[in-house]
Amino acid sequence: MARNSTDTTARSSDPAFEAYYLERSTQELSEDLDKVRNTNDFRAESIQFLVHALQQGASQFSAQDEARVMSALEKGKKS
Amino acid sequence: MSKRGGNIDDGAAAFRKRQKITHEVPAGEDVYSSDQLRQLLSFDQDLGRARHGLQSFKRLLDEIHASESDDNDKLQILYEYLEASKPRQTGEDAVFLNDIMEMWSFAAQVNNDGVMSSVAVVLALVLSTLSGSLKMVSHGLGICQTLIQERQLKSLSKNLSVEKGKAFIISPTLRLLREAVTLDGGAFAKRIFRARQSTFTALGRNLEIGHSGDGIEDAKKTSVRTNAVKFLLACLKYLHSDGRKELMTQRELISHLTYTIRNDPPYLILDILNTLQNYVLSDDNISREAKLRNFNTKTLWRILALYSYGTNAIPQEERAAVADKAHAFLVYVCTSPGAGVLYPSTGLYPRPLDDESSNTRKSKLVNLEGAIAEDRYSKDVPVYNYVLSEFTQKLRPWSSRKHSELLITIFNAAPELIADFFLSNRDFSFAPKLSMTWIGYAACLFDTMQIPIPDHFGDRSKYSAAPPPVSILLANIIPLPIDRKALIKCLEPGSNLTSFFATRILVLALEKLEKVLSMLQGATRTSDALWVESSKKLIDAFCQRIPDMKEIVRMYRSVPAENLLHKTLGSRLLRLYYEVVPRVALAANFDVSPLLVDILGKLDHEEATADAKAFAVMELENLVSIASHSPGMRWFNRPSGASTLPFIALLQVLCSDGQNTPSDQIRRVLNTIALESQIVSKKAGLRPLLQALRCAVNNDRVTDMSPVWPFLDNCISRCASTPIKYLELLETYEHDEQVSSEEVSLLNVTLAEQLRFITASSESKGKVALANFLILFFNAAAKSKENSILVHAIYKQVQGQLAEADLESRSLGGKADLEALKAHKVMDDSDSTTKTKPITNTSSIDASQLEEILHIAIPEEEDTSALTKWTTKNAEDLIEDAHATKLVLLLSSPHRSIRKEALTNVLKLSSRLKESSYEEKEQIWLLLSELAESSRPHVDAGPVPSAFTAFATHAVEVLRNPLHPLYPKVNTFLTRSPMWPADKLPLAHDILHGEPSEDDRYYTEITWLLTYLLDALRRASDLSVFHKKKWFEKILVLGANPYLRTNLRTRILRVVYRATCIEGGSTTLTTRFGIISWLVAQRAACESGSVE
Repeated sequence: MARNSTDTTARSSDPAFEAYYLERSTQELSEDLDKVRNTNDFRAESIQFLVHALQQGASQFSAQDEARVMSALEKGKKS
Repeated sequence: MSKRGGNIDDGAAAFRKRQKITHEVPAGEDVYSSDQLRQLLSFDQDLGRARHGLQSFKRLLDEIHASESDDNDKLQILYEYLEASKPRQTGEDAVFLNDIMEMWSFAAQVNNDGVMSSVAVVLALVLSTLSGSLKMVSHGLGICQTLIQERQLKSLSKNLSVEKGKAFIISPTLRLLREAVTLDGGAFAKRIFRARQSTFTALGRNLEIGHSGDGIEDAKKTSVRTNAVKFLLACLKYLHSDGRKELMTQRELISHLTYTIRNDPPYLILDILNTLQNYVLSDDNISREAKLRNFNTKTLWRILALYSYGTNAIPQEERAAVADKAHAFLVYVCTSPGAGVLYPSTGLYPRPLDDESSNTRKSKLVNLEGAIAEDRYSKDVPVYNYVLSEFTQKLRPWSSRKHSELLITIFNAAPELIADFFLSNRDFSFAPKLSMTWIGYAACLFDTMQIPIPDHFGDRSKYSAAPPPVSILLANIIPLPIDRKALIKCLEPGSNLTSFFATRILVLALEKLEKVLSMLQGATRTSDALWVESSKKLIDAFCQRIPDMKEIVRMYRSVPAENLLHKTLGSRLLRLYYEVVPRVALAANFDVSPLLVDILGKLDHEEATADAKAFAVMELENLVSIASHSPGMRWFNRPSGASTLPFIALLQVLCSDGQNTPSDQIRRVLNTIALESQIVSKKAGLRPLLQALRCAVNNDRVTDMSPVWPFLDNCISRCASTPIKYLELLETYEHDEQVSSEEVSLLNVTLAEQLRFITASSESKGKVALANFLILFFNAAAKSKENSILVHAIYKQVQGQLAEADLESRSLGGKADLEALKAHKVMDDSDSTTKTKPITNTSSIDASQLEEILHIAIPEEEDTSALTKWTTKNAEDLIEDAHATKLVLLLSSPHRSIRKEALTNVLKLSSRLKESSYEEKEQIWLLLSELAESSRPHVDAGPVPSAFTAFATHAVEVLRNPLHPLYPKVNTFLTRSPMWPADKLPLAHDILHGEPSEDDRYYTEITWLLTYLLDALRRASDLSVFHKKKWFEKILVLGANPYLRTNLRTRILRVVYRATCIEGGSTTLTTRFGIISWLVAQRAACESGSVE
């Protein structure tokens, strides 16, 4: 995986990839997220927090990797 | 209680009194002319009549306000009245509206609440009316001038300081003052503020007389507080800088302003916050001290409380607006250096204690023993931003998104607070729990870790003399709550969520560590022991905080294959372990080949979705990178369950989907492996093969690749396992053609040699495809940088065999073939190979840097306290805290008495250990006893051989850890050798010449051996052991291995360097071991790039 080894600052990701990342992570963690939704400390405003918590990881992918995934998805749709 | 004065105004009595007065308000009469008005307002000692007049005037003013047009009759009446009552002189003593002012003064003297209130109401209304009319504004200014005359100031002061229950007096007075301040663009603001002794009377108290009823305050019936706030804000807005500066010196004003801010209506809160931000905090003329005094922790906490402002009675959007504004306000206060609260601090350097300036920091740090200097910050970090430090303690970043955002913004502005915050918040654990709170905390930690390390660690323009304390650096890389125990729990297979979050955090931590290390090890700082020591300590401390490699491997294996993000990130984490903390990674026995097989299968799987394939490629890249770091990886052995060699499988990936998708990184790794195994020549690398394969995959003539891959698989496997056979074959070609063997790939020879088995077989299927592939391959080789004469010579043999089998055998250089190859040109790797090659060019290192790398000082000082200290420790501490090791080292003391004492103590310690419940007690007892028995004959004569103490101290480390690769060898040695001969190095022979206990552990064992040998070489007597038993020879031979990693090579050089530091060492090395020519050979190999 190509990555910029020295830069750990939060890189702003492509919004399309962020959206994909959110959807993908929600899907991967769906079982656990259901459990979290049923806990006492889950309130209406928690959703926004949860979205942020899930989505923040998108910045860990380099621009090149993001482009790879997005173009693969594009190709997948076309075919 | 019965004697209470009438003025006392609490309880039911006050309520009744207020009610009574309210009911008594006379209605007044309609006014039709200015004369009528004059009569109504003429001074009268009958305050009942006076009130009637004032109320009539109020009616008139209300009507003017109610009317929308400017030129109505009523306004005219007012104008005429003002003109008529205007004083003749217009100096400072001129009294406008004299009758009203007199009435007011009189009423104030006799405490007539009704008139006191009515006058204020009327005057406020008059000013408000006049401010809208250009024609009459001069009257307004006159009234303002009148207000600041002594008599009126007294009346104002009296009005403002009445009992707090009389809001009907205080409120209109404050309204009047506000109107006066704002009139004509604040013309009188300064003068009203100057008269603050009267105009600000009881302002602090009045600011706290809030709305008393339930629910939200009625905008038409504003409380005293609301009016006081508006007045104060008007002052802030209309005063110039100097005035504001003076205003901010008023004690506790901001405190009174914010004390009950939580109960204010939304519009007022927004006004307060906007005004404070725009007129106070952003005013550079107001000093930092004044701002800091007013915006202290308490004030900030009050504003923080607005995040949860309001009840259901207030519409949701208004509540949200207040919370948003409070957030924006706090972000501004906490992050703008101009706002006075944020101190422009020096990044990760803690605030020096009072007696310490930054210039003396280095000497202090150097003088202090490392451990003490670090301990100083393990409980508390002195910070410059103490207000923010205190403020952040109230933040609950795990439960509120806004708190979390604010905290991160503060951390960004003042990175010194990161370590401080988590030190003070130790109670909140990161132990995993499937709850929103845990997720919030994890998100906050993630955001914190994403904050970049400030340039130069926060020192303003360049790197400081000393690095920041390690504990603070560590806290910035991996915040305190994230510890090994919690992480291991997170990674347990029970929950994908906690495991996913922990994986992300670890990836981030390792990447940040890499960055910090590169800062610590920057070019100018490698020669400074303080920086070098710091990076070593940092790595040590970091490794204590992260889980072992086996936990990561377990996590990676347990992630379901369909969890693409998690799986990919897991592989990246594994890779980072190898790249950043190789010592942790290599400690685990991790075989990556089966995982490679799995992932290759995934890529082949046709039903996999497009994104799954994209992630699989990333995962593959990571695994390939790991494999290239693992000494035990067998690229040319078929793993169980796989049909091809890992090397071939990766070649297939590289050729499968155009040139771009799978990365260059895999190609580079394969190229390096092929070079190391001598399959391909240095000149051309893997390029001709790749070019031919990619061309073949898309070529019409090679209709079917299925015979090509197995053939290639077979050839490469043979070439890698028996290179000598093919080297000899190559020599026969060279002999014929008179060229060097370096210039052509061994693979060419292997292909030519193996072809005959295919052509000889009776099966004709696939032969044509294979023949066409070979033609392409040799064409590519001939066109590459390889020696074309040799390639032609080898191809001649291929051609002959093809002709024998009745297959088409075109000559090299055919136009169609070259055209086809051209379309698949492979990028030249020469630039990327230089990138991957570690820099060992000695010419770029000067003598002092070289000494820094190679010189490991022999510890001269003896810690004789070790003789007594151990007696009070328990068995576990004796080993874990190295008390035993320190005692052992005393056997090498130059003083006889110390050696004897040490020997006795070693025996005592070993017997104590044997009686204890320590897990590894038997082996360590054996080790120490053998050491004592072997040393006994030497103790009287001089220091015991350094090899004994060195072996014993390093063997203890091995015995403590049964997973250590040398554990079996050390134990076997101890059982076999009760006495160690003085002229031998214990165990060294078994390691260097014996088989490694595990296949892939050879280099790990050698690393241990070289560390031990370095410690075993201290004195001339040790040198003679190395000499007599030819250990130098063995070490130098080891150094001749071209594939030795830089790290191991450095260790060898350290031993050589150590020998030269001992008297007679250089001579021995030169005369007996040919060190000069060895060094020349090493340099030549290094310059030609054939060694790492």
